[in-house]
Amino acid sequence: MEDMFLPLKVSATGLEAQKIRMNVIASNIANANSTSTPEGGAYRRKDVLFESYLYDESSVGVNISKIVEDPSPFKKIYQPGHPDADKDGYVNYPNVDSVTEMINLIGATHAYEANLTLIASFKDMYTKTLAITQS
Amino acid sequence: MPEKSIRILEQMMDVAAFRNKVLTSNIANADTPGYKAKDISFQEEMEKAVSSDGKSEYNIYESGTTMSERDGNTVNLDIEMAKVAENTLIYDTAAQLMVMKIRMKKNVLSAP
Repeated sequence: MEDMFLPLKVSATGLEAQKIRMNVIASNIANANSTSTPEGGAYRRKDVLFESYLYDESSVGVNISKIVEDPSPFKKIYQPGHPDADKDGYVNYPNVDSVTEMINLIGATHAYEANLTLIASFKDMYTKTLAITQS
Repeated sequence: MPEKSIRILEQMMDVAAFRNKVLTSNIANADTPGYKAKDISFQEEMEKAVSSDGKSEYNIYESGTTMSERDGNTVNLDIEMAKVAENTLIYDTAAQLMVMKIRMKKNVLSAP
């Protein structure tokens, strides 16, 4: 028998994926000024890759296939006195733009809420179905 | 005599439940690159269901109406949420009518 509660699972995958995306955005914002990392060099902006996940032809969930690093160049700022400055006195600052991150965060929040609303509407439909048995 | 209206309400709920699954997938994939928004036509599926009286295959089509973003995704969150609201109302209406139908029958049966 087909799983009746598949829409709930699909919405849950959406919630999970958007939550991971929000975590990554938070890391980017937190490290907007990290000029050194354990891996060496300045912090590189990270991004998530969404990938659809097929349950059946009508139910398509989502998961995050990979967290990738943004290859765009670092911001070079002239700060000769900085401990992470290179021999010419330039410091590599992360390729993070806080405005972009905030906009992405708003997008992720909206998508998260949309998935929550879908769970609520499924519960509503299910409750209405149960009410038939009580008539 | 088969109860025609209960049968139609049942089909309405079937179609709306299926459409809910399709719309749920669109919302979950609102940010998946290359994902195309999908939908079924409630009216078309109802016409098919009523005329064929049997289980028919749903015709799922790509519903992306807005210009696709750079990553090829055609889901518009606002349009999808409006569709969900509409679909949930249709489903709830059918379920409520079903309740009333059954109550009416009960009343008839319990009449002195």
